Amino acid sequence: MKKIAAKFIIVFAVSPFVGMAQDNGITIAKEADKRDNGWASVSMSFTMTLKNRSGQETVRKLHSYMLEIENDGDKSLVVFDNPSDVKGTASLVYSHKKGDDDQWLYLPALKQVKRISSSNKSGPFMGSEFAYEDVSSQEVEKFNYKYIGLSKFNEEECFLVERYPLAKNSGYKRQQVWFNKTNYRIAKIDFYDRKDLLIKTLTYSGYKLYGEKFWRPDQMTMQNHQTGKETITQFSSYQFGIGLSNDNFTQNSLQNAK
Amino acid sequence: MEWFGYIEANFRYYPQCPLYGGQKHSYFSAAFKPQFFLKSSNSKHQLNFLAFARIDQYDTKRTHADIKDLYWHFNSKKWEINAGIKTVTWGKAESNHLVDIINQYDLLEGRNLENKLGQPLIQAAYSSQWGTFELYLATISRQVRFPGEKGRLRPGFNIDYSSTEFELKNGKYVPDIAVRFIKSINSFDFAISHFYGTSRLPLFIKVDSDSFIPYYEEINQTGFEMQWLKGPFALKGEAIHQFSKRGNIQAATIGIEYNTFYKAGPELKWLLEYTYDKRNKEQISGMNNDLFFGIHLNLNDKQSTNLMLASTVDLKYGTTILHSQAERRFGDLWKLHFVYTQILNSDNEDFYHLIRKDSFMEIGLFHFF
Repeated sequence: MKKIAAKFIIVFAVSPFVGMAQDNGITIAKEADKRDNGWASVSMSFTMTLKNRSGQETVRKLHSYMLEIENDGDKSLVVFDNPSDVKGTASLVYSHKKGDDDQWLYLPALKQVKRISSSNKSGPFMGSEFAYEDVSSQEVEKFNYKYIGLSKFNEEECFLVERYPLAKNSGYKRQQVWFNKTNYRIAKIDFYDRKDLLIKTLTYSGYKLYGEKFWRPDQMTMQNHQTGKETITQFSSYQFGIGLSNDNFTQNSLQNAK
Repeated sequence: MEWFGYIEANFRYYPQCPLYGGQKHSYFSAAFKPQFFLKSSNSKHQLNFLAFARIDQYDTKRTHADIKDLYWHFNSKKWEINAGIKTVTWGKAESNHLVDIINQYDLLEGRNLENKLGQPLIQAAYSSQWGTFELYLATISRQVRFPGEKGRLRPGFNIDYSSTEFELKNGKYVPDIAVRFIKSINSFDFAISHFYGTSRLPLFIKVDSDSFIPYYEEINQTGFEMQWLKGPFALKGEAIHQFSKRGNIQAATIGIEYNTFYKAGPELKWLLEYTYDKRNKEQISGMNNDLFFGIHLNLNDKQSTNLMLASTVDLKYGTTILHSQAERRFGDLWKLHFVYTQILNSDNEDFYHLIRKDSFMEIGLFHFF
C-alpha cells in the first residue's frame, strides 16, 4: 500500500512540473509576442553581409514592408536592391499561424509574378546563413515549447526556452531561445539540426525602442558553426506608423514594388 | 533618378550550313538595356522606363531598338492605373505562353515568346477581396519581325512588311480591349481573360511565288490560366479559345512541376508539359502537339548559378528541340550566360522545318551597372 502510494505521489509530483515547463515555455513565448503587438505596419532597409571562412564579404541590400494581421501571421513585401541583375526582384509572403506560408516572387526580367512553394523552408535566403524559415514570421503557433530555466547571456538575465518547430520539413529539430527577463526581447537563438547537432547561432544586438513600445535590433548575426560562414544583417530606417493596409500587399503591389 | 541595367557582348555560332543565301555561320552582337524609375515619396506615383537595343554584326534587321516601358503609374487604395508604353506578362505555364496576348513578340530576341515589344496602353486594376479586375486599352498594334536576309532563325520566303494588312479597318490604330480577372484561393491561383482586337500572331498570305505578306486578323480570345501548389508539386495550365472570321481555334498547355530540395541549398525542378494547338503550322512557336520535359537546377548560391536542360518533342511529326542553358554571376556586376539549342528531325509540316539548320550555341557576357 505504502509503495503504491509513494509511486503515486512521485508521479503526481513530477507531472505538474512537466506540464509547468511546457506551460511556462509557451507563456513566455506568448508574452514576448504580446509585448510586440500593435505595430500595425513598418518599413525598413537592411543589408546582409555574407562572410565566408576566409573573411571575404559580399553585401546585399534590401528594403521591406510589413503588415501586422489580426489572428494570423504577418504579411511582408521584400524588395532586392542589389546585385544589379536582380534589382527589383520582390517577394510577397502571407505567413500563417497554421500551415505553409503563401509566397509570390516578382521577377523583373520576365515581368512576371510567380507563386512559389514555401515547402523549401530550410533552403538559404539569398545564399546567406539565414534559411527561409529563419526570416519568415515567427508565429507562436509554429512551435511547441519547453521552459528550461534562467540563463545569463551577455550580462542579461534571460528565460531560456526550448522550442520545437511543428513544420514537417523544418531543417531543425529544436531551437533554444534566450528571452530577456525584463523586456522579453530575444537576445540569442541556438539552432539544432535534425541530428540534434548545434549548427547555427543567431545573436541580436543594438536594440532601440520605437514608438515607445517596440524594440527592434540594429543587427542580427547568424553564425554557422559547421561551415564557419556568417551573415550579418543590419537594419536601418525603421519607420512605424506609415499606415499600410492589405491593399499594399497584393500581387499587384508586388509587381509595382520599388 | 538612378539608371541601372546592362550591356551585353554576345556571340552566336551556327554549326550547320545555312539553308538560305546570305546567312552566316557566326554573329557577334552587342545589346544595351537601360532602365530608371522615379517615384513620389509616398510611392503613389511612379514613372518607369526600360529600353532595349541590339546591334548585330551582319543582320541589319536584327539590329533594333525598342522602348519596353515608358509609363506613368498611379495607385491609391484598391486602384491602380498605368498609362504609356508597358510590357505586361500573363500566364502560368513554363514551356508555352498561350494567354499572354497584350504585347507583341520580339522574335529578333528569341523564339520562346518570352521577349516582347513594348505596347502603348492604358491599364486600370482594382484589387478587391474577391479578386483583382483589370481593364486594358491598347493602341498601335505592333508587328512581328523576323531576322533579315543575313540572319538565321528565319523562314526562307520573302516577307513584304510594307504591304502588311489588317482585317480591322485601321487595325493598326483601333484600340484593342482586354479584361482580366485574377484570384487566389488558398494554394490555387487562376485568371480568366478576354481580348478583342488585332491578333498578335499574323497569318502569312502568299502573294507570288516567293513573297508573303503578314495579315493580322480581328480576333476575340478568351483565356484561362491556373496553378495549383501541393507540397513539392505544382499543376499548371493555360487554355485559349480564339474566335475569328476564319473559324475557332483552341489551344491548351498543361503541366506538372516537381521540386526537390537538398539540405545544402540547391533546388532541382522537374517539368513536364503538353501543348495542343489547333493552329498547327501557323504557330510560329512550333508548339502544336508537343511534349516538353525539362529539369532546372538552381544552386541557390551567392552567384545565382543555374542550369536548365529541356527537350520538346512533336508527338505527331517527331520534331525534337534540345535546349540547354546555364548562367552564373561573377562578382556583383558580371554575368555569363550560355545557351545551346539543337533542332532535330523536323517534319515539313512543322514551322521548325523552315529553320531546321539553325541549331546554335550562344555565349553572352553581361556587365550590369
